[in-house]
Amino acid sequence: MVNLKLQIYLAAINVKQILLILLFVTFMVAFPQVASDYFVSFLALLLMYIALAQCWNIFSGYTGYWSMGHQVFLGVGCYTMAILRIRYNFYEYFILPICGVMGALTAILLAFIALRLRGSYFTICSIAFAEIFKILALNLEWLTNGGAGILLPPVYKLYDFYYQMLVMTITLTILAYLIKRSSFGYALFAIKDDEDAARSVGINTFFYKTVVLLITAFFLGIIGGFYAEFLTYIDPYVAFADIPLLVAILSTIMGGLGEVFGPIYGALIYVPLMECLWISFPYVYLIILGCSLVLIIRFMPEGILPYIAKIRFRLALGG
Amino acid sequence: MLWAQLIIQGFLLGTLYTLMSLGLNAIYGVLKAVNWAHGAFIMLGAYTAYWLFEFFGLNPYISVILAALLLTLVGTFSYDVYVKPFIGRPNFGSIMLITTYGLALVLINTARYFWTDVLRGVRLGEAPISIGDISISKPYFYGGLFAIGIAAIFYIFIEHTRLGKAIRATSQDRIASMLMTIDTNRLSRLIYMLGAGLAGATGALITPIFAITPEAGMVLGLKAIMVVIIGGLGSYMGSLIGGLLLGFSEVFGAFFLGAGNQPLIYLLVFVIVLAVRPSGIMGEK
Repeated sequence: MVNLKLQIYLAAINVKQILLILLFVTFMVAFPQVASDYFVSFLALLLMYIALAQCWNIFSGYTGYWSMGHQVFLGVGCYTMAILRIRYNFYEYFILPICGVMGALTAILLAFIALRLRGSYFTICSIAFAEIFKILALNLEWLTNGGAGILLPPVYKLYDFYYQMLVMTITLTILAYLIKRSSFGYALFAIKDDEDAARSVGINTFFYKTVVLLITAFFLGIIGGFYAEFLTYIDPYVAFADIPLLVAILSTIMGGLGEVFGPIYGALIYVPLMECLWISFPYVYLIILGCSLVLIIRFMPEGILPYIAKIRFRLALGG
Repeated sequence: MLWAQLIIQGFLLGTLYTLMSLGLNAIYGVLKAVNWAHGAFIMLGAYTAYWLFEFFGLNPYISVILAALLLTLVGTFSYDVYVKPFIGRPNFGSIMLITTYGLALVLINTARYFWTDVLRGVRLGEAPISIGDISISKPYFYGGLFAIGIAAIFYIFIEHTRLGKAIRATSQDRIASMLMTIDTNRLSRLIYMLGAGLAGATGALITPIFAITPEAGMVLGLKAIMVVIIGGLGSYMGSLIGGLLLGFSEVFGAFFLGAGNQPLIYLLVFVIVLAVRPSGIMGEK
């Protein structure tokens, strides 16, 4: 009876799981030392997809508001980085917080326009919102150089980008875990289950939705800043592309909506699959993306984990 | 005179946008979800008219009917795969938006695969109609005329037939109309086919006006969705108001600010309407 509270905490920690995560992280940190450049760039993009999916999961998976406009924060981050770097030649790591703040400011705009709406209304408005920013980036030539795009200083950034994305992924996953375990997270899940009931017990739903949107937008803005540095060239179609978000959404649904590790499982399965398809069939790739979308949502509404549990159960019975 | 010209031009464009969004609105009424593939359907209708013109010399205004029929067929197949399995799921509205986005990706990229990204359009090469100082290009004139005609037929169908009554009843209360022995599942399929058919007809009407690429499917779909949001989802009157508003703002925007800044004006209209009244001009709270 030294310290009952400490003992309970220690009992709650799943040692096996933590060891596995540590092993995985060590492996990811050490990986670029032994792999080829192509593989590192692929893994860096995979990590970016996981980070994207984690952001989408924290907002849409927790609150039940399906956003299809989250690429807008990424794009705003990209443009903030590119403009400040080229015009004013700021130091890279000094710009990153500004990228995040710009993303958050955009999120305030989206919150006031669209978060008053519910369900599919919100989804449509988020799409339209993202499209507005794409068209703005195309038309405001004095600021964004229009469709010609902006060229950043061409520096070889692959390994930096890899580690940056690794840090972002780990940060976001820890954040997802902390939010889910806090009273803040319980409020978000209450909104998902029944918003009116949540309001009637005194949860300020608009405040909670806005804050979680701001948090995800902030991180997406920073990721956007890193992404622009990595690409060294951005134009509106790259910065505000909707396909990465779509892949992230599908990964999240596949891994399990609202689960902390859902986006990681989903992206680890789905993104390599898409990469293989993209290499072998460049045109048909988007057609397959469209088909897999409906198949995943139809046959795996709960994600892939129930399937794995079922298989393990069968194996246990057989063994 | 200049103002009259601009107003007529905006009105004709507005009627086309109204027709574009009518099918989307009808589908929203019954299914309570937005069909993101609407623009892809419009694109397919436009290509149908284009190929019929190219191979058989068929006038696009005749192929309006053929495009509509073909698209109802496409609509019924895509309904089976992309919409029907998800009816009844919680969050159906957002799910259908994402699955039909997948449908749009499939249709647009199939079109790109077969027909490439070349700009295609029907050139009828007829002289514009001129009354005094006002001159209207014939594709706009006929397009507006056909749009008004089709919209009128649609209105009569919804308001004055038994089936239209069933559609209105299902839009108001799905469960109650199920209890009144309306087969809502069949009705959902029917309305999806009807919406796709209307999109196909619109596509055939716009081929003589705009040149089409497969990618236009996304752009036109977004415009149709914007019209519907401005007007209010599920309201046919809203469709009309939103369409005309978009038409006028495009024409006036292009005239006063130059064609490059044209999107900014209607985006501004869109944001203002949303900020003031999030459910659209005619939408219910």
